[in-house]
Amino acid sequence: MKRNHYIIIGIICFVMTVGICVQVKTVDSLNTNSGVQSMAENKLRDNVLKAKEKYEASYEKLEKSMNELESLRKTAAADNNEATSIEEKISEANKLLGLTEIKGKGVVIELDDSKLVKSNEDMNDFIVHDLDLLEVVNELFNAGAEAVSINGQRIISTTAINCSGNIVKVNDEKLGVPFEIKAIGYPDKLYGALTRPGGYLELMEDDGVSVSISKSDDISLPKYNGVYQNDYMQVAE
Amino acid sequence: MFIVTIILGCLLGVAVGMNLPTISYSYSGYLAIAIIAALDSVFGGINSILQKHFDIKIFVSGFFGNAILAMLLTYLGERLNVDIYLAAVIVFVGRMFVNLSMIRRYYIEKWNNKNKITK
Amino acid sequence: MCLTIGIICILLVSVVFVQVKTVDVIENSGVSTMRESELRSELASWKAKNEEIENTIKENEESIEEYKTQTQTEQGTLGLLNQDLQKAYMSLGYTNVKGQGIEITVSDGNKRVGYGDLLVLVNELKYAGAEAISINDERIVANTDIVDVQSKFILVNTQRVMSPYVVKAIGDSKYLESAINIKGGIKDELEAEGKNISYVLSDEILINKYNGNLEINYGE
Repeated sequence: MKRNHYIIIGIICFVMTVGICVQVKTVDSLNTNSGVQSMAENKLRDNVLKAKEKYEASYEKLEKSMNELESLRKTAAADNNEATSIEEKISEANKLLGLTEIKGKGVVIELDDSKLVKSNEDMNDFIVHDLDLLEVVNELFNAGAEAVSINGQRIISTTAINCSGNIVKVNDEKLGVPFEIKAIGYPDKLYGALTRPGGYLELMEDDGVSVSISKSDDISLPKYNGVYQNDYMQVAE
Repeated sequence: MFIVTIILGCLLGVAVGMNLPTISYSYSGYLAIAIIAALDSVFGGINSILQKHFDIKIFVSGFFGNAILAMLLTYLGERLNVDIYLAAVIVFVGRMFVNLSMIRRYYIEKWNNKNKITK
Repeated sequence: MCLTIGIICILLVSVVFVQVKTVDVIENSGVSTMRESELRSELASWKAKNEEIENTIKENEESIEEYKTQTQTEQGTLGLLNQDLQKAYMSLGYTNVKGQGIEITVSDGNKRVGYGDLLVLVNELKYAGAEAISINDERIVANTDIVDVQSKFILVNTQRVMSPYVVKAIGDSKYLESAINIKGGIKDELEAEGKNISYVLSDEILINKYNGNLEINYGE
């Protein structure tokens, strides 16, 4: 009797192990996603998070190197008038390039997808599109805005605003509603220009988008959190 | 006393935990289930202290053993395409509730007894 | 025994904190809901950003070395400072620049080219990595605006420009070309509307400097 038991147990072990191996191989070969996320996608997620972490660490290094450069310039220029004036021009240029935070007067515009969407109407009209942001920023500059930012992304000379799918990207970073557009400039002029009849904000409001604009004496714009790429262009005489 | 070690240990744990780096996405699922298993052991441990059955060996072996077993089962489940970790969650959290109710009963009885005595 | 309990507490609590922090990072990044294609493009974008930032860090470190070694003499200091100023001015648009790129000519056809067309075209070029852009020799800078006046002519940086509009951009010419050419992109759109668009790629595009002055008076 005992011997039979051993044989039966042995067979059961064998069958179970075979079953497990077959199942494991099957799961590996398929790319199924039924509730269990596939390993390949998880690896990708891992890599994305790691790349992001690396970027943030590098960014800290970058900031440190920029600060060091600035103080080296200041000390080098300390005892020379000509040098000091050049150093001041460099600082001013960095400010204009958007590499420093800016505080001052201007306006703040808030754009949000419409709250009142009726199910049978075209959703498209009620959403804020990348083109809307492009047009509003254009109008702000036309009205004399000196610096603009959208949701913490500073607008620089090479800033692109576009959408991939349903998501708006500014400076290649994803942004979502509500959009807070801050602009530094003469508040009355900016406000007047943007709220003028026939202006783009009015058009958006008519379409149903939620728009609000206010003047402020105390706006703070963040600095551009990327780097200036000059791989293809060089100075020409 | 016990309480002091526990409080000190937890405070140190906070200090250490705050400074440790985050782990990668693929492994965070395993860590999560290990935490649930560990919490179940903790509640079991508290309960056994009150019932005066506490054995440090059972507690420690359960703490690590359950955590490791839970992680292994989750991994197996991933390879076999069965959500085994779900069962682990149900069992561990279920036991936590059972232990918690026994702890509750213990203290309520104690409080009742105290009242009876003072009467 | 107390020691064991203490160690277990430390372990459990610290592990909980690690997990909470990890989940926080994961949720903020949004990767859990992304699918493979989105993840791949996110990864590519972060890799590109990392490359950019590492290059800049290297440049900065070289600069720091130069400042440490070459500023013994007044001449050395002035040389370095002027170099840095030139670089900054180049990024601002205060200098003429050259490099490979694309020259696009957009002109009125059956329909007139409006400010919106140029606005979108410039935006597309920027998205394709254009480092410098000009329209009929008006340099596009940070606060450039493009507007219609009475639907008759277009102002760029308050300077009047007329059809045909020559839009020059410096960058990776293949990349710039594909940005314009993409199916359903700006070229298709303009042509569908009855406007004309053509382009040439070049190894040496010359873009003039900005003739105005950038300033920030209302902020610090």
